[in-house]
Amino acid sequence: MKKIIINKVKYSLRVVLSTAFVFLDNFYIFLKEIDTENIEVQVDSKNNSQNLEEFEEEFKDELKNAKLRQDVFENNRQNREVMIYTALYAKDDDTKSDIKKNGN
Amino acid sequence: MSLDFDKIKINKEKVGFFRFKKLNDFYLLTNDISLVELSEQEFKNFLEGTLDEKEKVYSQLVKRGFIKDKTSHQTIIDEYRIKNRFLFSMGAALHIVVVTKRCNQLCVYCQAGSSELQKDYDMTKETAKKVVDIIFQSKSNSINIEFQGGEPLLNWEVVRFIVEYAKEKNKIAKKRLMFSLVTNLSLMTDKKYNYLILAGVNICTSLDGPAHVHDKNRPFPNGKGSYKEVTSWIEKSAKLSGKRRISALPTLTKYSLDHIEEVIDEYIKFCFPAIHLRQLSFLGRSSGGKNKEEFGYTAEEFVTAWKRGLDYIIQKNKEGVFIYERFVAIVLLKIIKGKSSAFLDLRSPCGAGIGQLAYFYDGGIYSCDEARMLGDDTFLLGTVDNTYNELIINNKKLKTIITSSVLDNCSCNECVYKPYCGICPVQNYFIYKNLFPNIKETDICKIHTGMLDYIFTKIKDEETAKILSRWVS
Repeated sequence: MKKIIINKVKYSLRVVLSTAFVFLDNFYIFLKEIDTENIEVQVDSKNNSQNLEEFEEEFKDELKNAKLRQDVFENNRQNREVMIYTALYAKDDDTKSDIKKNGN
Repeated sequence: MSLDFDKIKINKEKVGFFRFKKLNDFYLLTNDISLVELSEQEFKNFLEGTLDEKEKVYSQLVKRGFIKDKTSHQTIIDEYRIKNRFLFSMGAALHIVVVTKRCNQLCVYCQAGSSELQKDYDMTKETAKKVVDIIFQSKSNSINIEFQGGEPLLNWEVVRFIVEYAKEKNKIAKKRLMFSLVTNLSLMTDKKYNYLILAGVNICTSLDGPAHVHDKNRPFPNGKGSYKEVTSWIEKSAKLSGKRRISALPTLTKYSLDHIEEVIDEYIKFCFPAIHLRQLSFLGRSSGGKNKEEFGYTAEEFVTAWKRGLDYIIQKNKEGVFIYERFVAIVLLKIIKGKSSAFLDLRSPCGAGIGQLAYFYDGGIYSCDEARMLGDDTFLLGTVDNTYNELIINNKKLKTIITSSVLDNCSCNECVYKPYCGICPVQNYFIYKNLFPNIKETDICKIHTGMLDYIFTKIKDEETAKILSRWVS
């Protein structure tokens, strides 16, 4: 069993969950809230062949990837919603005014 | 080494939406309209907003909607509409009519669970008439009626009736009307063949490879193989019509994977321009028990064999033989041409109900071909006694099915391959007992990811890229 402490102020629960799902094929992963700022990730290999030390490094790398994905998603959420909404529902004439109203 | 994103400050004013994945020595980025490949340094500069505006990659990123302060939003909106054109279609175009559940073969993987049954399992003319009436209620300008089974030639009279009645109705409807017949060819006769060709019915069959592979996968109930029956008609068709009028699809079992090069050679031998190296669906007869054990495989085993097969096809192309792999061609059509494909499995949402409908022999109407294979009413939308509006427009069950195949609703939304992928609610329900499983754990995700990783690394090689681009030209 390996334990990794994650700062949930820096990495949201959604980011931690998204990261954990990547490894579920080969590992059992339990998440436990320690306090208001930290989550403990308990990891165990499903078949003893997996190296838990290597796992920690891979998990932390994937955590950073997941955080970047979430940041980019959130930074562009509103803009993207307007564009997709416009593409799907608006008449061509409405497009420009929608974008003007919502910025960008 | 990969970039440490914790040490990079993202320029929120410039960096538009993207998904990403590191593949070998480059980063692949996709968004809602396009893709781009960046070196590690380019990706870092892009994130920090420090890319030199004079660089070629900068203009690529602007043109493809990755740099938000420079990209025309109207361009993104227009491109989005083009890439998702199917969302604006007026109704289902593909109508699968299961004219019988009976079959004269006993294929080891049969998804439909067909076998030698009584005539009670045939569609009647009365039901067939109602089927055609509903088909013509679809507002789609194109209608493709695909005859499936069982073996549809076992209910030949109803096949003929549907062709004639649909043509009659189309004199008023004036739609683009097409027909396809999916048959094992063993009951084909000269008379039936001539009728089908004259009526403009496309004929599609199953050819699983050379005799020792095909016969193992597709025997008759007495154990005899069916290779001779299918190949004699493929050859005869070319002679009778002067050109190839029969297309073919293989289904790959564990035994086929061991002989994948021979399977491809068989398609080359019969001059088929394409081969679709498809995995088993694990519905029906191969879903469990002895058959799954003997003929099934893991996602990893399939991907390994598929890569070997793709390498072999590319090698054959280098030697001057033209043959393409269909999954690759569908993906390339999206990558190179930026077009959405008519292939209903690789889109979001999938084709269930809005792209296709399946009409079972007993008059039940299902959301898709796979749905009728489950043997229960989970995906049953109604019957031939309902109207098209009741089946589609006001159907809460269909809305749930569609929602479950929208990739934005699951972890696929974060995946770099979202624009090229799709999920099947029927398989998710059947295999994982859940319309919303954790997609990352599913076999289909592992298979698609493995295949797409390989395609995106293969096209980095210049000679291979030239060959692959010919597949969609």
